Amino acid sequence: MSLVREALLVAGKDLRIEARSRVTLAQIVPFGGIVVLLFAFALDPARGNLPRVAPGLFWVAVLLAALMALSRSFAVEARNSARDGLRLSGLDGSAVFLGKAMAVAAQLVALETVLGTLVVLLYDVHVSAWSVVLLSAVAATAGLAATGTLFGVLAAGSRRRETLLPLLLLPVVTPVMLGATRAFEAGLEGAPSEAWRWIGLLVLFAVLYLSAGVLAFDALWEEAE
Amino acid sequence: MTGGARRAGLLGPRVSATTGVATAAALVALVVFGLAIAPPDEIQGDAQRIMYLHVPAAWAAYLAFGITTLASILYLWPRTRSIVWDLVAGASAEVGVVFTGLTLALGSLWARPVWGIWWAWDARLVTTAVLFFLYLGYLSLRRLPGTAESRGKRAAIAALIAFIDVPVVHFSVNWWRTLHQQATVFNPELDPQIHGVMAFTLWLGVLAFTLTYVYLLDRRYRLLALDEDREERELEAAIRARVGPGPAGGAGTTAGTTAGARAGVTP
Amino acid sequence: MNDAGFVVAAWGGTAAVLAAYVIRIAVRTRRAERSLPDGDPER
Repeated sequence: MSLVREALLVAGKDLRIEARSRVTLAQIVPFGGIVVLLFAFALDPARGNLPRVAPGLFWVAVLLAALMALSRSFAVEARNSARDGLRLSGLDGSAVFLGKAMAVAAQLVALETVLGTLVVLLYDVHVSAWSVVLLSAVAATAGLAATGTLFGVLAAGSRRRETLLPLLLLPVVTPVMLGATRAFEAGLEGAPSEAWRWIGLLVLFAVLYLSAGVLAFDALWEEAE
Repeated sequence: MTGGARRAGLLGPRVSATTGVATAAALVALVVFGLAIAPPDEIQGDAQRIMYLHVPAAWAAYLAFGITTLASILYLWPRTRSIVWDLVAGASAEVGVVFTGLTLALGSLWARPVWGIWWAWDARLVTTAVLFFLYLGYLSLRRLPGTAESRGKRAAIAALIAFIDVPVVHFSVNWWRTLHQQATVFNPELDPQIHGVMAFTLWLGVLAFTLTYVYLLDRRYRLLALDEDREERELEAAIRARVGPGPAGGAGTTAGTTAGARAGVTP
Repeated sequence: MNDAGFVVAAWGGTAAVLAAYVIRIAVRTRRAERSLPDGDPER
């Protein structure tokens, strides 16, 4: 079986679990929505701040909700010896990594779509270059999914995982936060030429951590308890 | 590897003691030169004396994280795999976090009198702050329970993942600040044109902090090794207590009865 | 606070932090050594 097919199997499994439990849709996306509302309370929309800082707020909201989705992604493996089952299935560790990252990415895309719509509607944001916005969102999502899955399994196998994951992940993804926010700003303000270097950075980050995951996941996966 | 071999420090008792004395001497010399002999800066006045600590602390922090990375690679490399490298990586990271914290605090104390602000969103400052949290996370990861081997592998991979992030963070922050801020208020701390006694004092500071780093690394390593050793012994003792009095000797009788009574209570 | 105040805070603070760290390590090392079955191997 090829790597891609194996990865799709794992991704399909995770998404099927999501389809049946609806945790992302029913809990994590609404959580992101309330964060978007909270920012408006904190930054008083009457002062006209919101459109200016909307890209940053959007990505902070995505990041916070993503942490929950990642915890969830490894919590489902912890119960009913699911991890042992997956390990015994003979699937390659790299495929498990790519599959889980794909499933996380798919959930992030759903999350970003909903939160993006909310931000555009509630914060009075005008997008001038959709190509820039969409491209940077895709690259940032890939980077977040890769690092998140990598650190998810690193911190897996302990009761302290939920609290450790944010501390591990957030410093590592600072470049994503910076790059995605700057690229979005360029896409909104109509200066798309400035966005390309940030998109390049986001792509580099995603490639770097996808490769790191493919290389290292097998070893980490074996060790996880 | 037997537990006993790990109970010694990294350097051995005599080298370790010599390093301690040399470190103390270098730090005393640094105090004398930094606070008394070096003249106050023409522009910054006395406040510039903080540089003699700030720059060496930053150097020691980067050195420490570099050693953590190196030790992690050596641990992952099958031919050089040894728990020694895992412990060196952990000890060095902790010392590095202490120095990073010092660097940030000293930078703040220096920025306030010279630039009038506690913090500037300068590329180097932000990178150092991210580094601080990056390795704090690494240290927390090391504290997760698990066998020495699983923890070692996990920690070594995490250290490398953290390390490849450092240049990316640095470049992204650099772009960010240069794009949005035409001219920085200040130029890098290390003016290449400082002369004489001041330059000497700075180099003395680097030497003193390097020695401090080596000394702390050695001591911290020894503590980690002792703790590791104790955990192993406690595990063995717990197993013995479960199985029954082993070849423990005379004291085994009472301990054995207590363990037996306890075992009787448990269903 | 004048310049001298900042210098004193920086140097004093550094000395305090390093001393505290060394003492912390020493105390924990001593505790670990006491639990050794055959005493301190470094001496």
